[in-house]
Amino acid sequence: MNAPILEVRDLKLSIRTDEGIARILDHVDFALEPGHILGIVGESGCGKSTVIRAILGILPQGARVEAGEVRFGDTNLLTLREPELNRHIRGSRIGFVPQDPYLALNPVFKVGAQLLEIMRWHAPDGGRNAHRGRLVELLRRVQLPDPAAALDRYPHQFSGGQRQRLLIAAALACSPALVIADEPTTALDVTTQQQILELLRDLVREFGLSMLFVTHDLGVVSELCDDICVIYAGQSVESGPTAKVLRAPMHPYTRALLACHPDRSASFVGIPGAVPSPLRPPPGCRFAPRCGQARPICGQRPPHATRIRDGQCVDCLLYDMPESVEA
Amino acid sequence: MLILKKFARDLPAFAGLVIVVAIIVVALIGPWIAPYPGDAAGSHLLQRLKPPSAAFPFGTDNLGRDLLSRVILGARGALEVAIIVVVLAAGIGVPLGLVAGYRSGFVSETIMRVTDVFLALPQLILALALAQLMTPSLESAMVALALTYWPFFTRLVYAETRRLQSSLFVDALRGVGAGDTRILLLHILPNAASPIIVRATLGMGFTILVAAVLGFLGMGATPPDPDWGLTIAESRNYLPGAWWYSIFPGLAILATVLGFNLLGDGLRDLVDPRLRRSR
Amino acid sequence: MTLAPPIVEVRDLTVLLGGRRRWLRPATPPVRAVGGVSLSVRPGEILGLVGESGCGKTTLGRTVLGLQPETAGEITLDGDTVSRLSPKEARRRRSDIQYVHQDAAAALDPWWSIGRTIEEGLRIHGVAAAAERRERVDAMLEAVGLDRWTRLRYPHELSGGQLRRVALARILVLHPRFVILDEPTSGLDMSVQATVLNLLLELRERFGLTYLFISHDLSVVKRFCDRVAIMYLGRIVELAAAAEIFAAPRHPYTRALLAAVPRLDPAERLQAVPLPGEPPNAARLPPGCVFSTRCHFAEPQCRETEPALADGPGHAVACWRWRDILPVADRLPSQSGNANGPELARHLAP
Repeated sequence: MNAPILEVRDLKLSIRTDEGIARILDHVDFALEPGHILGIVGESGCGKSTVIRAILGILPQGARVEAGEVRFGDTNLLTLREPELNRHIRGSRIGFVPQDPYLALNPVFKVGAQLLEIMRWHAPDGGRNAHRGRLVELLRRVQLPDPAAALDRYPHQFSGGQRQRLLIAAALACSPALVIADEPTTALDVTTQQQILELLRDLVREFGLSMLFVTHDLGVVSELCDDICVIYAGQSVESGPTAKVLRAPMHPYTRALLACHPDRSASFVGIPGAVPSPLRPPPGCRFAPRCGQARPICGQRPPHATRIRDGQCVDCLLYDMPESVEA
Repeated sequence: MLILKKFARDLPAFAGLVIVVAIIVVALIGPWIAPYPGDAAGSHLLQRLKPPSAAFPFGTDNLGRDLLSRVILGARGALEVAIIVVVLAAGIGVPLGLVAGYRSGFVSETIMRVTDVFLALPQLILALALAQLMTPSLESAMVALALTYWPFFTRLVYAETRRLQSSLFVDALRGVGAGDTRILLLHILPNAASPIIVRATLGMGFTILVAAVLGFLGMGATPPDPDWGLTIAESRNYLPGAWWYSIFPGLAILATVLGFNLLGDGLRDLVDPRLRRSR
Repeated sequence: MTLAPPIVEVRDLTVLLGGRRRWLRPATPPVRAVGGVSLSVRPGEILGLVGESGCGKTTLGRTVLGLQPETAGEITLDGDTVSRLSPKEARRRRSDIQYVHQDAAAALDPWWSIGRTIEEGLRIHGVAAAAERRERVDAMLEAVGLDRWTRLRYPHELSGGQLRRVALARILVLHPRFVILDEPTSGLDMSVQATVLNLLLELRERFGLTYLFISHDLSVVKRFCDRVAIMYLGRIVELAAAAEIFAAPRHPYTRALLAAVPRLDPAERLQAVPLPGEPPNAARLPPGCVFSTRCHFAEPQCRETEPALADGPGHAVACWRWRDILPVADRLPSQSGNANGPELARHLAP
């Protein structure tokens, strides 16, 4: 097994708000294998976007990483300073595809100018024509119609799906090894989403990328991602190969979440209770208050006991067996 | 309460609040804390143009009147002018803005073009011109100032009304059958209130300044009013010898205008992003 | 067996938007948001209106409500014609129809307490006694599963789910019979959707409501609605019972739409030709069938004449060729391989 290209270990993060300290991330663990697509799945407010921001170092003011590390290759990204992150990581080694294509582009500049600026920033010695040529090829590869003319248009002249393709091209402009996509298809229609997912799948294969794909849609994960990591209220609860986890989920939350999915139930099934506020998180396992199988010990000690079986990890005391607890 | 905490952290805004509160207090209890309340009208001719001393902390003016008392008493006049002018200006400007913003058409265009004309002229010049047309007095100064300030409210309210009337909650109100008047007065106006309050606060500072200028030019308050601007005008003949004569009223104007501006800025910061998200 | 007459009926409804004629400037052409739509909704049923962005479903909803004037066609409520009215008149005559917005939070005045907001509808409709209003508000809050103290709260203090309930309470307190729900589950997590949907079903039972359920979420529509209408560029392309549309879709667009939904088990996916490209600009609609520009099976006839929504028994389709397409719809065209892919990859690598 190759070493993972990105590894998040025991990430713990809090944000100072006016109402107090919000412990957004309590214990997040996952590893992205090179050439794989890892889906980070969770409902709204679970902290999945915060994890991405922590990796890229674009956290809001008042955010503090309390523990853990983010290993990219052999560097811990959390120890890098802003200038290093800007020059060497963001855009060049890690590409980012944001969620809302409508908001991510500057409306007053032509699209070509914006994308070329990115390329020039990371490779100032490349000639302008060389950059432009590459860009046109990239735009053609992301199936944007009439790429050369596209460079001279403004963002509002493109549709949502086309803008997302532009952003994907921007993310790939400097040939990164890792691409992080934060819910890139959530704002799109389902038929456009299908096209974009297929495009991403092809690009990953062709360019040998590794991709971190954040979403709330289990169906998307099933169709696109090789591996999955489920997050609940800032804690990663289960991870492993997608097919295995979806077929035989181990964590009670994963099971409950799957049970809600229309493909698994003909009627409307929810999960009773509500997600705890990060301002007053329950001790120990944060799902315990809503878990049908919770035991008193679940609220006492954090569920760091993990069990590994064929690449599947689960953070749940139900599976806590002495012989399989990893150090 | 969260809002007050945030406000307290904004030092300049908090300082502005302190100053404004102080000025208001001084204005309210002026006659009782001024050492020589009679000096609003009376005088001690024997004490003409005395520099600051223990008896007269701000010195005396050319008629021997205690400047500290006159400055304190002047606060009331200044605030009165400011409040009346701003209320008048808002009273004209806000309804015009509501009407202009709610439905586009001939009326709306007319109102906004008239507003543009008023805004094109420098306010001070306009105030002077208007004050000249009427007999010089404090009342005419106030009317003149109100007539120069209303366009700011109109422009502001016009923008807010246009924004709000295409908002979703107004659409929902129309859905449940709410009429235009109800929507305009009960829903759009309260939502536009925050920028109006900010503009009014800033306007107070501005008004006091312009009123002082008008008084200085003899177009506003008349002697023997303890008006700050008037006092500075009177001091012209006795400078630079009697420096205290113009400095102290000048500082009073400075402090008041500064206070209102800081408060207004602070309110604006408070109002804009926060109150849109959380009340 | 006599069927109850439809509660709301729409005949040949057309809505043109925009199209401003300006003085000294070239006129902007109008956009046909809704083109010749005919629907009838039976009392008590839940009719789903499904389509992607720009298909005109929201415009259709707002036109039925009355805030959007129609350009042509007829709207009847309980058999009475209520079309050709100004928005204000329309809302008055059609007060039995109410609308729940997609964004529940934005549909509330942030400076008004929840209680006042809900009461306002009653005030407008002439319930003068404050005590009676208070009572009705409390009763409705309970009916939607919120406690009485919510009356005193403000929108920013409530969660998304609670706000949706408030939105429902606000219109239900006026005793409507026909409720247009605009994307009631969008933005909600799957675990929360169930609560809202179950509540809607409960309220339908309790108050005898009829729903027009506008949504782009096919999986919700499938389980919630009795009948479903699929919209594309302002036209209804297919209309049938929910179970049937999902089990045996006929129109190529419906098939493509269903096939695009990501499934937990990829093997369960419906086989259909994936949709290429983007929908054409609604301001310049193609002649003939609106779907012809992207339809794999389009023929000259499709590009000339617009197919009508043929009223098959219980399953209507607007397509000339649906009978020919059905047997071969499962066979996908051969995958156009990315022949240039590897070359490009090498070319682009630094």
